[in-house]
This record gives sequence, structure tokens and C-alpha cells, in this order.
Amino acid sequence: MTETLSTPVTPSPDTSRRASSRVRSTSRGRRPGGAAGPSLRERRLSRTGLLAVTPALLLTAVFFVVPVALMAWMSLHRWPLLGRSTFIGLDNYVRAFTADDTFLRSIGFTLIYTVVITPILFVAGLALAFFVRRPSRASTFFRTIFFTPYVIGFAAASFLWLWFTDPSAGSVNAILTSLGTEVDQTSWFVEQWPALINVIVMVTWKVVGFQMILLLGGLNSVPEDVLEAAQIDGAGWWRRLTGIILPLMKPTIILVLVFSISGSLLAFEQFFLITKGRPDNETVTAVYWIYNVSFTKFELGYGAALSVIMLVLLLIVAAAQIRLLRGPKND
Amino acid sequence: MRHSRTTLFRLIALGTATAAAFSLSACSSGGGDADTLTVWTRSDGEVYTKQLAEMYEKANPGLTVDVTVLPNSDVQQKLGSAISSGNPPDVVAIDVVKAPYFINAGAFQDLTERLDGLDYADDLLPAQVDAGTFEDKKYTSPFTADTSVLYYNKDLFRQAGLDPEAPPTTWQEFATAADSIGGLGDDITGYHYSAGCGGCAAFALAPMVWASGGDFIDADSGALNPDATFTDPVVTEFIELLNGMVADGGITTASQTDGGENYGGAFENGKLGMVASGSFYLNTLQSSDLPFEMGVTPLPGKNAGEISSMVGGDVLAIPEGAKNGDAAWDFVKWATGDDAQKSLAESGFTPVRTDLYESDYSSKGPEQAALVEAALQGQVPYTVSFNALFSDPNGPMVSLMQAGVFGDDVDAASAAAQKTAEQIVTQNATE
Repeated sequence: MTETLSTPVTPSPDTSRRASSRVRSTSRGRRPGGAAGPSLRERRLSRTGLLAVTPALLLTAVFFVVPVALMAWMSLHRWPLLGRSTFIGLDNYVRAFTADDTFLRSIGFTLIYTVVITPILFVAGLALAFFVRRPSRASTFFRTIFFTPYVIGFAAASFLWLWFTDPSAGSVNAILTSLGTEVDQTSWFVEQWPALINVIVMVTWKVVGFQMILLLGGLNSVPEDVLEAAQIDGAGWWRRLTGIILPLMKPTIILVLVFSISGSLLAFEQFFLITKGRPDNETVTAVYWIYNVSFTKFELGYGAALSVIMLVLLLIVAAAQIRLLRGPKND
Repeated sequence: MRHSRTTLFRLIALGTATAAAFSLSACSSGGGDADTLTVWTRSDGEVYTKQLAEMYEKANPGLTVDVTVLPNSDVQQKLGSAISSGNPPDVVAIDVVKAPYFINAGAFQDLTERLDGLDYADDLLPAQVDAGTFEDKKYTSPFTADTSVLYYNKDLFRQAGLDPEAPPTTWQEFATAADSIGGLGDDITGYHYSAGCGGCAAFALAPMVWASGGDFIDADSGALNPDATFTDPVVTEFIELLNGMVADGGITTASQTDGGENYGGAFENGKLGMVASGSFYLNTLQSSDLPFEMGVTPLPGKNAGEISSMVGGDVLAIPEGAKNGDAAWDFVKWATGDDAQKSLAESGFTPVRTDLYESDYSSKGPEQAALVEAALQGQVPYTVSFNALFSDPNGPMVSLMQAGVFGDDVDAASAAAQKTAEQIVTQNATE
């Protein structure tokens, strides 16, 4: 990198030739260095550039392209943990859409979870970002407080939550009871919505700080003078928020929503550890089911097929999201 | 050539999927070294496996027994990966219910001749021998037994007006006892089980179905992958009994979502009337100062005189591809021998040598005698699909135990469980 940057100022044997070529090309009204082919410098730059991205390309190849190709290959087989695999064409895909009720139900549940939690996280994150916006000692304190849960792993947080909400030993039920609320000792996991709410509260507590930090960056990039001008023109806070702040924060919002939505669609640990799919597989997410198929039933080929389906769904959602949020102008 | 390519693919596949398994097998890849014997066990077997490994090292100076403990739920995946990557341990102690899965995959060495040549060949616990046998060939050796029995609180029996010396001998007596103890007061409960832990529920409740001739799988077929029979009339009748107990307050509400974390319910502090558990639980109970008098009795069937038990515990196997096959057999032979089995009995684990029961185990007390009776009358579910049918927290057994027992439509829950179970059996169909 340093070498590339220093090249133009370092005198080198070909300086004179390059200079003359520049003169010639300028005389023909072309931009400097724009001869028929790329100049030596451009070629060298592109070679250096290629070298620079090689590690990234290699990493992507080894950790993404190869596994995905292998997964696609496996998805065409009946592939047990032990024993020979057999090629079965698209049977796994047919099975996913025709015979596997739990998979289809898990996709539905994952979508419900995503639809419910995304606005909660966004609004809460934005509210917190406003709350800690002005730099002060207090806001640093609160920023830290709000962000801290994010550094805890999902697994650890889930276990913590499981313990909080334990019907006999947990503090949540004890507090609710002491406040005079009648709590059925197992109510958290015998019905779908209480179980889902339990997880949503945990995830919000854990992730909202991260969204706050991201949104805070966007919020601080909104120029003060524009807001001031709007205020002078008589715009109320709601008008300022929807008319100025949010539109100006668009790039950040896109980032936050893409993160949040794809993260929610991939939800696994929180359900695997807290609800275990209870009651009766009603809180099984798509990734949870893929895990179950692959590592409980050891149907690795079918698990791979479900993963391919999931990958396609995620790509569609992410593409649609970016297109929608960018708006028609930029297309 | 074709074969090696598939092997390569499998290796890459398993590598991406189970990196952890690789690091484990790498740890134990001192292969071919006759001075070290690698033994894998599950976390439930940690105590006795390590205890015996130490004894074996003392008896064989210069030999190191390298014990690796795998989390219970990871055994199948890690052992499967290790065997298919050609780097298995020399000896493995696995949960007996998993034996058919590995036997079906051809993962274990045939031990028939060696086992039949033992002086005590006929004294090995029959239920465990059967679980490791396929088409008259024996692939696993019994190691330790863990049999399910009913633990009950005699004080609570008295309080509820029941005879503490006459524990339930039929389903109806079992239900009546649970219901009347459950009716004693707010924090006293009748019966508790872990509906969210399919393996636990099968261990605790399946024997009560077996005792009366019912089953969740078509065990009579003798097939490695028998058909599912979750709608067997005996099963349905038993689920209806449990369902009625829930309505009558005989079963704790916490049972429904207990994923096995709280398998003993409130038994240890004297607030639970009955709980079904195994030999390991007796150790826990006897090592704590119980605030009540405890009784142990076999799990009853529908009619008096019918009893059964699930014989759990571990069996030993030598995986195909083990580097020290002969040394491995020496260990297996020793582990089933007098010294090892007596040491197990002394530490409170149920041995698998029926000829030692009277002298070294059941003589320790009526509790141990009940465990022995259970071991001799019990059976092991025999299916390659045990994990998917019974253990899986999202599988049909858990579904039946939660939706069937706690729901309002037993038939619908049974039918749903049967449908899932049939799909599992079909998927595992052996070619």
C-alpha cells in the first residue's frame, strides 16, 4: 500500500517515458495515461490491488464458496452421518415443500418473529440514540450501560434468561408474584406467545444497545443547521424527525435494518436454549429446524437442502429490502 | 477411486460441520501406540469410566488410559465423525440405546467369539447383550447398568392414607396414589417427570407400557429400524391415564416443560410423592440426608404382577479402525471382570454381571435389590432411530408427552406423534 502511494513521487527510470506519454495523450485530448491499453502504472496498481485482495478472496473461497458448493452437492443426496451417501436428485427439496410440516411452520414462525421484533428493536434503538445523543458524562454512562449486554454471547444471555424466568427459582416470576400478579408456574413455555415474548424481551435487552450505537452515528451526521433552520420555519419535532432526520439517516437505517432483519431470520440460539421449541415445536425457527434435521436426526443431505432454501430466502429478502429502502430514485 | 472421492467429500463435509469433533479426534490421534489406550465416554459415565481407567493403569504398569469425556448429546455426532474420518478411539463406552445405530452403520467390530469365550459369558446382563446383538453377532459388551424404578416417599403415602409398605402395583394404584398425594396441600405434589426430555420420559414411563405388552416401536420384528407404533392401544390408554392424572392434580404442572433439568422434581426435599428414575439417582438420594423415609419399587404395568424397566447404562465397543484392537479387547475383558464389576458395585453403580448381584450388590439393601429385579426384568429399546424418536426434544416422544398428556385431545396428539415417527423410520430405512 505504502509502496503504491509513494510510486508517483519516487524518481524511477521510466519517469521520462511516462511524462512524454502524458504529453502525447494530452495533446490528443485524452485523460492522462489513457492510451490504448492500461499504462504500466495502472497495470502495476491493478496487480498490487489484486494481491491486496487475494487473502480476502481466498478466505471467501475457503470459508464461503467451497462450503456453499459442497452444501449444494450434499443437498442432492441422502447423506447419513455414517455409511454411504446416495444421489437422490431434487427429492430433498420436494420433501421440504410437500412433506415437512415443521419446516414450513418454522419459516412462518421465523417471519412472525422477525416482523414483531424488527420495529421493536428499531424504535427502541432510535429512542435510546436520542436519549444519549448529547455528549455528557451521563450519556457516556448510559451508552455503556445500554451497550454492555451486546458483548455477552447469545448462548450466555439465553442461559441467564432461562434462569431468570425459571418457574421455581427465577426472579421474574417472584417479582411478578410479589407485585400481586397471578403467575402460572409454567406459563412461559406452555403457550406460544408467552414463550415468544420471553425471547423477544431477552433479545431486545441484548441487541438494542448495538442498534443504538449504529443509529447514534447516523443521528450525529444530521447537520445541526438544517434542523435549526427547520425549527425556525416552525417545524415541530415529529415533522423534523420524519421530514429531515430519518431521510438524512437513510444509509444508516438501511444498514441497521439489513443487519436486524437478517439476524432475526437466522435466529437460533435464543430459541434452541430458551424455548427448545416448546410448546410442541411452535417456537422452532427455520435455522433451529435445520440444526435439528442435521445434528439430531443426522440427515445431513436434507439439512443441506433446507440450508440452500434458507439461503435463497435470505438473498431475496435482503435484495428486496435494499431496493425498497433505497427508493425508486437511485435505481 | 470413486470411493476415495466420496470419502474426501465426507471428510470435508464433516470438517465444516463438526470442526470440534476434528479437534477432539486430533487430540487422541496418538494412534498405534500400544502404551496408550484411548477411551471415549459420555459425561454421564465420567465418574466410573475414570475410576476404572485408573484401576486398569495400576494393574498394567506402563500403560496409559487416556479417557475423553464427551457431552451426552454430542456422542453420536463426534463418534460418528471420528469413525468416518478413520480416527476413532480404541474403546468407546456409549449409552446402550445408541448401540443399534452404530451397529447398523457397521461402525463396531464383531466381538461375538471373544465375548462367548469369556468364563462369565452367560452371566452378562441379557437386556444389554441383546441391545448389542444383530443377526446373532455381538458388537458391544455390557458395561454398567442404569435401570428405571419408582422412588416413593413413605411419609407422604402415610399422610395420604395409603399403605407405605404397599407401593402401587397397577396403573390405577399408581394414578390413585399420585392424585391423593397431589391433593394433600399446596406445595405437595404427586408425580413428576420430564416431558421435555424424551429420553428421560421414555426411561421413566415406557416400561409401564412395556409391562402390559404395549410398545412405541414394533420391537417384536427384531429389525434394526422397526416401525413406529405410537398409536398402539396400550400406549394410548396409558397416555389417557396420565392425562387424567394431570386433570386430577396427580402430575406436577412443571412436568410439562421440564427438559430434564429438574428430573427429580421436589422429591429430595420431601415434597413429591413419586418419581421414576434410575440407579444413579439412588446414589444422589443416599448421599444426601433425606427428610423422609424412602421406598423403591419396580415400575408397574396395567395389571398387578406386571413390571418392567428400561435398562439404560453403558456398553463397551471397539470401533472399526481402532488402532489398538487387541489392547482394547483386553480392557473390555477386564472391565467386565470381577475386579472392575465389584468396584462398580461398591461405588453404587449397578454391575452387569448377574452372577455378582447377590454377593456384591443386591445384598446392600432393598433399594439395590429393587434395581436388580428391574435389571433382570427390563429391556432396552432396539432401534437405529432412538435419538430421533425418543431423545430429540423436538421429536415425537416429547410431543406425545407434552401435547398428549397435557393437551385436551389424546388421540390427535398420538396420531400426530405417529405421523412424525413414521417419517423418521422411513428416512432411516436401511437399504
